[in-house]
Amino acid sequence: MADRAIVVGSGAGAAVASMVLTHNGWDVLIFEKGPKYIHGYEKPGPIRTTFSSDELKASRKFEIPDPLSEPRTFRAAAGAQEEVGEVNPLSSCVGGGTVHWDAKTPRFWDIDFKKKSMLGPYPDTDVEDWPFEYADIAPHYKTIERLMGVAGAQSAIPHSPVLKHAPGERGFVMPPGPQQLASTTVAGGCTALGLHPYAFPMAINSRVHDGRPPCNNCGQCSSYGCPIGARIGALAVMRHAVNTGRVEIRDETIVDRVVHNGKRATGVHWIDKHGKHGHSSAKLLVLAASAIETSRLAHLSNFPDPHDRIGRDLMFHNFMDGFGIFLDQRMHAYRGRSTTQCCEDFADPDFPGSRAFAKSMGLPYIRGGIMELGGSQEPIAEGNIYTYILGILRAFDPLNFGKPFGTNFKTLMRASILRDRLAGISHVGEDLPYATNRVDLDPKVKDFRGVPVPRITYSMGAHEQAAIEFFIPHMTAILKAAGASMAAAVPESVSDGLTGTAIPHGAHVMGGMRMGHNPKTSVTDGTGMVHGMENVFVADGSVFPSSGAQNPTLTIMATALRNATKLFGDGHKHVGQNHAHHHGHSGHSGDRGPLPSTGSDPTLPLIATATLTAGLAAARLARHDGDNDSGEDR
Amino acid sequence: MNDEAGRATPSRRAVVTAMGLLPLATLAPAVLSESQARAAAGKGYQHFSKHQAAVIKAACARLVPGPDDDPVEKLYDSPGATEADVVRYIDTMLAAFDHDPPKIFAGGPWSDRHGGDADHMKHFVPLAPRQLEAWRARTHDLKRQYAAAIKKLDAAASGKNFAAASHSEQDSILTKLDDERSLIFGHTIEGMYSVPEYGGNRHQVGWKSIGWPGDVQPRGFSPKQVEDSDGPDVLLANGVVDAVLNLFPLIGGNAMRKARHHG
Repeated sequence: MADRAIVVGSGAGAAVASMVLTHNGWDVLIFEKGPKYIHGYEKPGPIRTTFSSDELKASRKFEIPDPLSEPRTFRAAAGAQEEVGEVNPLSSCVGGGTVHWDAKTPRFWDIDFKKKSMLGPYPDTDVEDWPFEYADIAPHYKTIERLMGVAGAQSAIPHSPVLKHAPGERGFVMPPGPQQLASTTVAGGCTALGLHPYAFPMAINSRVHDGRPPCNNCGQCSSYGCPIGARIGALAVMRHAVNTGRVEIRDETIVDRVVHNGKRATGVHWIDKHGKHGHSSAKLLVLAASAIETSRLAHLSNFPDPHDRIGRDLMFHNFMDGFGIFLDQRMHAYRGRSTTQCCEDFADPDFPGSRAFAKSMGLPYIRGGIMELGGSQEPIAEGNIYTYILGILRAFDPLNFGKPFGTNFKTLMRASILRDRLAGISHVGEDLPYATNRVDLDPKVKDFRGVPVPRITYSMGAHEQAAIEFFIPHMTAILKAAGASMAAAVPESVSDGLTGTAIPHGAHVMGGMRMGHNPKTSVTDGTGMVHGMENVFVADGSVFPSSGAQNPTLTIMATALRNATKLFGDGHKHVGQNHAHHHGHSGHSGDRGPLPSTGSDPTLPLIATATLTAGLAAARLARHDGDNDSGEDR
Repeated sequence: MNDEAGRATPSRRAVVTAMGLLPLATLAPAVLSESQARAAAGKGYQHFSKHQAAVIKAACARLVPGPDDDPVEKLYDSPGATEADVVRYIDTMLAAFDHDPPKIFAGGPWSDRHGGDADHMKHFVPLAPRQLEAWRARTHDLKRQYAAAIKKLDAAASGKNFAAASHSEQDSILTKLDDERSLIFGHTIEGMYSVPEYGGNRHQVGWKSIGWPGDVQPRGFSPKQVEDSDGPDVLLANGVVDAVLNLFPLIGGNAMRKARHHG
């Protein structure tokens, strides 16, 4: 009988870890605290789901933890006033954050993996190199792109700055879909200023793939589950795990403690949807519940932490939002995939002017990041903003301005300056690692199950503030060059003026269990194994030593693939390579995906491979018994 | 367990209720819940009393007026909260737990408005325990807030009945009472522009009034509709729009951050 691994979480990293483990001889038991909303993803063909184009359902937090039952707490610094509520939550259901993401898959750059050695030290931060470099992860990027079914055009990617820093052929399996008017319009502004926008690579079907239909441009995309399965995110990888028959997924069951003896984990304690408590044992623990939840679980489990590193160096992205209003035409950003163009020029620390600006601020360098071009919003969100603005208008001009409702409100809705005439920029700036930005357990607040909630302590540093100051005017200039009648840009962190704090909400969450060779400055080793523990593997964004300047999910998955392959073997290497066969065959033909179509009985080699790799994995794990990482990655 | 087809499975509570009413059930054609019984008794609403509904209906009509509420809207022939039946939306939300599954999350993957085989949104999705916990507390609190708000609106009216006050008096009360206005305004917006399965946006008049296509699955949009401009559409000068545009550099981003999408 195969050894059992327990995986906590079912999103991006969990899917990859589960695929690798099952194809290398492990049985996998997955715990997901949220429900299952996408059915039938395991087989090629259409999915069934209760996701829909329903803005109210999304705003009522259909797939996101509700702060009334699962709050988090936030404070700007230790000792500062604490707020209880929603703090950068991710979708929590089978498939994790990739169920309602907008599926953008840019790669990190070479300088992201070797920040310290290529760009130099950064005072007052925890900037370090990753334990591996771009060349190491590049093949894994390509595998994930292929398995998820990324649509993109290699020829569209600009050499400078993108291919120069992230070289190589992408694993695109289909061309980009239709380009949104709002996106191409803002991209036009980029081009006019000498920047290099291109078709945003994304894991959204532009043609039938794995039997799932192409996107039909319904428009309610980012932050919605896809009703037709043109975008199923990590589940496109998870199905290769499930189809081995070695996976059990327990949804609506939270793991509130890893059981261990200080050196070796033996299982988990869980609470299911009926409130029933239980225990399951395993030889291997995989934590992939997302950066904040994995850090929370590590704290709840009292993992050995002699250097007080667990939960530290938490990173969000330094989001900056630009708003261009077009008074002469409607931008109809409600049609199509959300933001079909991107631009990476601001991720370049040598972007013209930025070195001099950094120097003037006494900093080594500054970086923005990738920009998503052409976003907008939907009517309920739009209406709520008008009520807010009408309130402000009254405050500015209390005598002459009319009532903050009625026809004034309806005029704004009809004119739709902040929806149908809006084309935005979402700028994903790099957020440097600071030890003071962290996750620990709130001493008082518990979720509805009675489990202590994560407390987030976070403030942006000097780098982020300088980057905002430098890039905001550039964003406004792009929108003006694109033909916007009015343009403005602000950091996401602009205070709402009520509490004096700004809770990040960009849904890019990294760090807390950072990788590194030195246990004094990191929580996991060069392959994501927790220092000081023999059998706890971390497979989500919590292991990132730095945040990069691009959407993180592809890198979460590629990192998990790189690490899991090193730890557990490469028995999965042929997975999905017979995609072409899936379309022509009915039902189960693709289910044995791991094997090349040799025509022979696939069972025997599968067993042989599994046995061999399980042995290798066991030997590998046995070496993780000290505080030192053996440096096997170099 | 979430029923993947979005069908309701009878919960323990529903079964127990049905058993308690067994003798009645033999007489009545169908077992009525308390709220359905109330609605059937002629009040027309599940949660609100007749007077409460009248107050909320009047307030909603001031916040988002239709042709009969404001001369400008008459000019545009633009439907408002009354035409969209927003009071029904709010009543349905407050009475969500009188239904099984509770009317919190409409089903999917689509309605029958744009080529769908059936209106799957009609079948609400059973709640997970964490959603039950949160929404029970939230609706309980909202019921309390609405009862208090209605009392306050009535008390502010000279005739102690907000629904019977003149439009100008209603406007000045709503302008003054910030908390009550924001409570009702937020839900009025939801009732105007959400999918009709939640009880508002009747005949999609909310969407039609702003040129929003609504849920377009499974038909979607053509590549041409995505990529091409629909042509010039020049926004004519208008007091309130100009005022907002003038303030935009100051307030645009501050307001917008509240609505940024995940991605």
